[in-house]
Amino acid sequence: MPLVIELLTGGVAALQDYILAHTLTCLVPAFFIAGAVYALFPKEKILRYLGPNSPKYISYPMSVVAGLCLAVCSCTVLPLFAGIRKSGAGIGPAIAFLYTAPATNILAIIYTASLIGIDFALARIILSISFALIIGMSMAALFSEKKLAEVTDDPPAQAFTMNEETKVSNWLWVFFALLVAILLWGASSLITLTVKAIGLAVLLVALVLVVRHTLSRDEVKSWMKETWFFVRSILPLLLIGVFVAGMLRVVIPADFVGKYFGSSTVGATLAAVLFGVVMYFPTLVEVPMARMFLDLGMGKGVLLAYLLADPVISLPSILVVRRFIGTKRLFWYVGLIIVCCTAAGLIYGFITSL
Amino acid sequence: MNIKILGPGCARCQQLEKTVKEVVKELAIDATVEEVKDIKKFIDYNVMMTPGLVINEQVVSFGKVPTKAEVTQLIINAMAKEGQQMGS
Repeated sequence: MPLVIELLTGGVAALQDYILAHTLTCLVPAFFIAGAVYALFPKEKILRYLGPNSPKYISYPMSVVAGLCLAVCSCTVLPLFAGIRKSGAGIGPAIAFLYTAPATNILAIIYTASLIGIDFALARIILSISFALIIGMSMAALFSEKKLAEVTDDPPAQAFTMNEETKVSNWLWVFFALLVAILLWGASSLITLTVKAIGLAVLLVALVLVVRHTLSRDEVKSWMKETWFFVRSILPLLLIGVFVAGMLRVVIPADFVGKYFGSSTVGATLAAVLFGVVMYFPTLVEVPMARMFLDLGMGKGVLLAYLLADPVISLPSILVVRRFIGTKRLFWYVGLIIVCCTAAGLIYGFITSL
Repeated sequence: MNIKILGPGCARCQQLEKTVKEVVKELAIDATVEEVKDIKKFIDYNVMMTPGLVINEQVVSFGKVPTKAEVTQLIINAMAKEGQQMGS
């Protein structure tokens, strides 16, 4: 009976911590940003570069940008992956996209910055992008695929674009910049509360003005709809995840974690990566899990390795991707992920211990 | 009229299917509404961002869930096109 109470208290404490500290300043703006990106980001501008005639120095960076900005919702990752590959850009950029999309999920990065630390969030973005490119190019080198254009008589498929003429107002970028500014300003721990409140008021007024100037009623509705969609589909599972992490915190002995995972050994880092590769957590839940491990004494390098590996792949997603690229390529894909994440963890652990 | 909804089955795609079916019923037109869930099948339409909406083999929307008003407009446009083709 006392154990149950301890578990529940642990869970509730985690929820309180989470709700008080992070929801308002971090997740609320983050969901709005995610909704805005999904609803309003000009997709054609990026898809245009992922065709067969794009040179590699364009298609690779563009796949990464696509992963950052287009794949905010995980459901669209596989169709985009298949499309990029088929449209002629090839398996390299397609894999770069496949990796970047879940690894640099906007919500997850913001949440990581807030719950664990900006250093981790930055490391997560920079390393994920680097790995995406490395792994993508390795796969392309290992498995040169005959361009589908050469096999069929049809002209190579171009990503479907609705209207070539869509002009994107510069104000749209101002809009996005304001959203980000609100997030950063609100979440910053460097400013006093009064300054923060005043600054936020100013920024919010600016946002309203820009929105009235730039967005149509439908676009605003669309934005709100998408934001709500993200909240509805992610928040409940996240709260459950936080609760469970809170309970696990009570149950898992800290000295066990500290002893085996406290310092960046190859074994610990590899184990963390493998755990991340196999485990499936709903979107964002890997972050409170990581926080729990950190609180229990996991070393920073080991933690980073886990945080890099977990969102990118899981047992269920391995099985699905396998249907697209075959077992052999899959083997290499997963293998490359394991190697990169473990190396990153070891390097980060080394750097932070200097 | 043939309407296809392309998507791996996520919540947005289902929402689109629901909206389309509603509109079809309200407009009382003769249309088949099918879902294409197999990604390999709908790659042929070059729809890279789901959900995708295809009317009479033409992609009319992708990457977002169009509102009911938008779906109605798209279907009406398609009907007009059909009318033109039959008339000429």
